Amino acid sequence: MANALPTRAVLTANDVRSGDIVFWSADGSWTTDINNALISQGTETAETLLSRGQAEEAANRVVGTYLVALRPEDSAEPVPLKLREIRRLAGPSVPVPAAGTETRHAA
Amino acid sequence: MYAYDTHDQAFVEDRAREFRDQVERRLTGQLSEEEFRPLRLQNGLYLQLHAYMLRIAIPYGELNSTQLRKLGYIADTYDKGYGHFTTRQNIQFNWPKLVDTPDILDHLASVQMHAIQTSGNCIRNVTSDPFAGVAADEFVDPRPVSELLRQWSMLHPEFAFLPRKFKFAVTGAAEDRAAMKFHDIGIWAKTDDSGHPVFDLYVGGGQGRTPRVAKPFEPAVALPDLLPLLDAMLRVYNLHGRRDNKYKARIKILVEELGLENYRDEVRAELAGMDTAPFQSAVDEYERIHAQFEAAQPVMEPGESLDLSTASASLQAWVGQNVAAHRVPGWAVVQISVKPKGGIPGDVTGTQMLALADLADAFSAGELRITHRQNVVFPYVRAGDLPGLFKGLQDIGLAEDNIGEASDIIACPGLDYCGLATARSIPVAQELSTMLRAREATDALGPISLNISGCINACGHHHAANIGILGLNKAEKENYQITLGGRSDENATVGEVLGPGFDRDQVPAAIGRVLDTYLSLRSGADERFPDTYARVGKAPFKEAVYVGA
Ligand code: SF4
Repeated sequence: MANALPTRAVLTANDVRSGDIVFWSADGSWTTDINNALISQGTETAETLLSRGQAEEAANRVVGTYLVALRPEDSAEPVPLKLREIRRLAGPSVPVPAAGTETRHAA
Repeated sequence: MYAYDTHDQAFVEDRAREFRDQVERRLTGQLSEEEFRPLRLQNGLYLQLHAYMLRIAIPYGELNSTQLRKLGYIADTYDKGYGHFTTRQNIQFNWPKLVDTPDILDHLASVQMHAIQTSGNCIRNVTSDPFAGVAADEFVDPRPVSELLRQWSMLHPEFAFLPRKFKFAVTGAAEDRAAMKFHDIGIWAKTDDSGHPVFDLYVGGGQGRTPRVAKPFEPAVALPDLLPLLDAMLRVYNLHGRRDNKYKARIKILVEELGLENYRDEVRAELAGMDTAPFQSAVDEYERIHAQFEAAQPVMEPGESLDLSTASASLQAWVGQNVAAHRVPGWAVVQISVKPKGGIPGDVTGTQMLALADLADAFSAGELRITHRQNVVFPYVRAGDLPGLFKGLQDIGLAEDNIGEASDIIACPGLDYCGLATARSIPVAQELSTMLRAREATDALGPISLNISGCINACGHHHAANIGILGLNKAEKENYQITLGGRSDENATVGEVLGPGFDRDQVPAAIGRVLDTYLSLRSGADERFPDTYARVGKAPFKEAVYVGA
């Protein structure tokens, strides 16, 4: 049985080529910035977003689309409800160096 | 170490070419994700929490400097400048782009490496003793049989789609440094009265949500009988293993449900009906591999041990803690800690990989090992070279003198990287390592294993640790359960859950109280943590941690 659709959510996926986390934006394209993501309000738009995700997967632009439930309060910044999504959005706890930088272990 | 023959080399090159074609078809839309997913997984390419992740096989943890240099190059060129050594003695890159993976696999093939058998329900990369071939307490070098298993299992047509993944570990020494009894099949190589290798087999060990210590299956199996017997063991598992429930699909559950005796009977019946002719070349192949390992070892003339009387305190401490006995006097097995104070267990930058490769060339005949405790071993170091090696390691931040201490923490990637995680492991390890390094300076805690997993899958081996930590998600908040008394050596034991879990910020204090209790209760400085725990039981620890809180 499918889970109930969240009332406030954004559509997320990974870019097929790069693997980057992306969100579906209001201007009808994928963005890496959740602040530019289209936020669904109510299950109807959530359904629309999900079918958009399926179409995008079929077009081989992204992989693994799903809805990220957001905190219900009407804040300007979308904040995920679940721990996993909070961590996914935040990235690793430790700073990730750019390629070829010096040792991460040096104090 | 083992070098590919032309057949091996052609095979990995073909596989890399095949994958390039598959990626191209994926990118042009000829393959859907559903079609592509099993293909990428067969080449070690996962999709994780943030990005793709490439897991590269390091057979039985053995690498040469050319290979490590290549890994450093890949880290800096195609990833974000670092890689992560895993508890399977493999390496993972956390940020490869799909479009780059064909090039990465080509680079790997050029140094006799690949990412096959690092995913899926097949026989995974075989793990072994990182001191193989040089340990003072070794009966039999476990690498030839590990390599034989690699060749037997790689793309074995019957065992490519087992009920679940399948893990082998091989050791050949008195002390088990390969956590052999926590594997689906553990192999303990010894010698018979005439000096021939024989193999004690253990079956049904594992971690995850149902941790089990492997049971003795068959002692002293002679070399000619080994592969036929293993084949029969896998066949019976393949036939009866629970494909309907992935939590019950490992061989440990089958052995439990059937009963060890019944499983053994079925294996014997299978063996009796098997055509063993295809295995007849295995003994010759073992001899060939064995000879290759022998020939590849540097000539090690016995020499003098290092006089440390005038050495600096830091060098003395590092030699005392990180250097293990070598089978040849005057030589050293050097364990390089990838657990600096406050660092990330098992993470090494591209820069460090390149420097380690140079150090391996200068001080270890160009060879090194990755350990299941996420550290590095240099197997061929002259005692007189220890000061030079120490200096080189200090220069790259890898001279921590904490091998085997509590701060030598195993930690899986957890919720910082892993899509299956329920909590983070890395920040917990970092906080604990900072706290523990301070205590280790004053408290003489002795050897203690402390392992952290970010979910019940237990890749961080928490069940097998003297002190284990399991990260869980409790009402969308990270919560950490402590287990005590586990051990992964020849006396393998599963740790016991101490009690209710802790918030992350409470973990260091709780671990501190566990250590205080151990110090106050141990019978002497040489009574190890799991021995004290086995003697006094859970109650005093529980009281100290919960009542004393
Ligand atoms: S134990 Fe869990 S969180 Fe850690 S690497 Fe394994 S699956 Fe991921």
